[in-house]
Amino acid sequence: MKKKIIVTLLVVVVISVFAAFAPAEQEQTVKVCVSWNEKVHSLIQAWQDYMEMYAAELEPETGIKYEWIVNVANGDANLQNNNIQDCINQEVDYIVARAQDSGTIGAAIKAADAAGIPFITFDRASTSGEPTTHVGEDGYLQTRTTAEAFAALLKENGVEGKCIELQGDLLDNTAVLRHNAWKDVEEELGAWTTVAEVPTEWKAEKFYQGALNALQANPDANCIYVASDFAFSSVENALSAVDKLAPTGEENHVWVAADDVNPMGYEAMKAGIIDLGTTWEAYSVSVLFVDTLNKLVKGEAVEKEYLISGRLATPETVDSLEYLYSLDPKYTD
Amino acid sequence: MTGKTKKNFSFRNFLFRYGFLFVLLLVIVYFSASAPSFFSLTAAISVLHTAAPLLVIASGLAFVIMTGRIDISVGSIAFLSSAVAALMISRYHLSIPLAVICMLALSCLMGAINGFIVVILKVNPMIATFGTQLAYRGIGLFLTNSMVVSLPRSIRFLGNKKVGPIYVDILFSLFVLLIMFLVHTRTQIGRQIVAIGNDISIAEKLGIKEKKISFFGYLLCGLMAGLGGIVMTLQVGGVTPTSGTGYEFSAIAMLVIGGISLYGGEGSILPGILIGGITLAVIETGLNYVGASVYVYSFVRGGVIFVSMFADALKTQIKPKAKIIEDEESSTILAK
Repeated sequence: MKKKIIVTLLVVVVISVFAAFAPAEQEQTVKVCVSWNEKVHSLIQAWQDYMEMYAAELEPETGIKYEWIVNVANGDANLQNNNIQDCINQEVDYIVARAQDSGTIGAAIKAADAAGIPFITFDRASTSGEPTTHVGEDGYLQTRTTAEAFAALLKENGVEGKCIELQGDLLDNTAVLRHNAWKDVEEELGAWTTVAEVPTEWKAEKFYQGALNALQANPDANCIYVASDFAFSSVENALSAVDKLAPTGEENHVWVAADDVNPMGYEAMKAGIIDLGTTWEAYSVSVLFVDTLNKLVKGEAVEKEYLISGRLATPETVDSLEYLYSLDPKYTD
Repeated sequence: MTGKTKKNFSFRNFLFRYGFLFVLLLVIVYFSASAPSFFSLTAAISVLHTAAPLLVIASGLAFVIMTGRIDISVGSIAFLSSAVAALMISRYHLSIPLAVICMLALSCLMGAINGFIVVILKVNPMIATFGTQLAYRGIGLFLTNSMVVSLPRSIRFLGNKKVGPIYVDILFSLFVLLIMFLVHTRTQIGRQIVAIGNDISIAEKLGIKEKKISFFGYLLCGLMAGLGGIVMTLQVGGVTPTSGTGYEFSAIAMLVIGGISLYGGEGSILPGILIGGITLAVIETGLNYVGASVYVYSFVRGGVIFVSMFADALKTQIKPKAKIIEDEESSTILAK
C-alpha cells in the first residue's frame, strides 16, 4: 500500500511539473515579408522597430512568433515588385508593402493573390489592385487637420495668405491626398491663395531649389505649406537665402504649415519656424498593423482598411504628445 | 578673298555649334514673357546657384566622356562622400577640415576604383559604373541607416553665403570650371585625353600612355563628384538617401547640350559646360517661376535630354560626310 501511495505521488508530481512547464498554447511561427519602397527617413525605421517590438511584446499572450523578412527597393517601383516576387518564391505567410508607386503595386498584389498569400498595403494605399487590407494614416484627413488649423491661425493674426505649396511625389497616393486636402480647404475657407505649386519628388535638393525659386518669383508670399518636413533644413536654407528665416512674432516671419513632425520638423517647430503640423504616426500605425496581422493569423475577418488620424501639433503642444517618435533620440536625424 | 569666306561658312556647322544657344535664348524669352520676375538679376543668380553642384560634377565627368567612355556613378559618389563627411561632422564630431579631406580622399578612391575596373580590367564602362553606382549608394545607405544626416546648425546655412548678391557656390563652381578648362586646354594631359577620345589606337601609336591617362580621367571625375557633393550638401543642409540620384543623367545632358560629344574627343569645358548647365537650370528655374503643372517637369526634362542626345548623334553621323566633302574640295584645290 505504502508503495502504491509513493508511486501515485510520484506520478502526480511528474504530471504537475510537465503541466507547469508546458506552453499554454502551441507557438506558431509566421513568416512576414516587409517590403519597404525606400528608407528615406527615420520614420520608416521607426515603423519597423515598433512593429517588431510590439509583436514581440504580444508573443507570450498570442503564441504567434513573427519572423520578419525585410527588403528595401531604394525608390524603384520595379525593384519593389521583384522583391515581393522573391518573397512569394520564399513562400512567406504574409506580405506587407509600403508602395513606391500606388499605380504599379497592383501587379505584386495580384501575384501574391495568385500564390494565396494575404497582402497588406501599409501607409500608402494601392490604386491599382485590391489588397487583403490596408493599414495606415489618413493622408487626406492629416492635411485637412493641418489646413483648417492653419486657416484659423492666419485669420487670428489678420493675415491674408499667399502661400507656396511644396508638394510631394505625385506617384505617391498620400502626396496626392495631401495636395487635394490643401486645395479643398483653400477653396472652402478662403484663408489663403496658393501662388505657386512646387513638385519636390520628396528630394531635398528640389525642396531647396523649388522653395527658393518660388520665394523669389513671389516676393509677396507670406506662407508655405510643406507636404512633409523630413528634409526641412532645405526649406530653412531657402528661407534663409531670401532673409525670411525668422521665428513666429518677428517681422519677416513666413507662416509655415508642415506635415509629419519628423525629427527635423520637430526641431524647426521648437525654434518657431514651423507654426503647426499634423503628425504622421509611427507607433500607433505600427500597433494597428500588428493587431490587424494577428487577426489575419487567427483567421478572423478584417476590414478593407484601417486608418488612423494624426494629431495636430504646435510649438506649444508638441512636447505633450505621447509616443511621438521624433522625441526618441534613436530617431533623431 | 570674299569667295573663300563664303565657302568656309557652313550653316550646318554654325547650327550645331550655336544651336543650343538659340534654344537657350528662346527659352529665356518664353519664361521672361510668362513670368515677368524671371528676367532679373535675382533669377539669373538663382539659375547659376541651382546649377552650381552639377557644374562641378559635370566638369569632372567631361574628362571621362572626352576619352569616349562614361561614368554613371557620379551621383552615388557625391552621395557616399557627402554622407561620410556629414556623419563624421554630425555624429562623430570630427573637425570640418578633416572631414572634408577624408571626403575628397574617398571620392578619389571611388573614382580610382571605377578607373581600375574600366581601364585595367577592361569592363564595359556603362556596366562597370552602373555596378559601382549601386554599390556606392548601397554603402552610403548602410552607413546612414537610410536616414537623413543633417549638418549642425553652425554650418547648415553655409550654402547660402553670398559675396555681394552672388552666392559663394557660384563663384566656387566657376573657379572649378576655369581650372578644369586650363587643365583641358593648357596641359599635356588635357590634350592627350582629347587624342584618346578621337582614336585610341592612333593615340597609342603617338606614344600616349592611354591607360594611365584614362585612369586619371576617372580619378578626376571622382574628385569632382566629391566636390560637387559638398556644394549639394551645403545647399540643403544635410544628406538624404536620395541625394545625388539622377545627377549622372543631368550631368551627361549638361555636357551634351554644351557640345561635348558622347563619342569622345570633342567639346570644351568653357563655355560648353556653362551653356549646358545654364540651359538645364533655366528650364528648371523657369518652370518654378511660371508655376507650371507638376506633371510638366518630367516631360520637359526628358524632352531636353532626348533632343540633346539626338543632336549629338546627328552631329556624329553628319560630321564624317562633311569631312570627306571638305577633303575632296581641298584635294581639288591642290590639284588645280
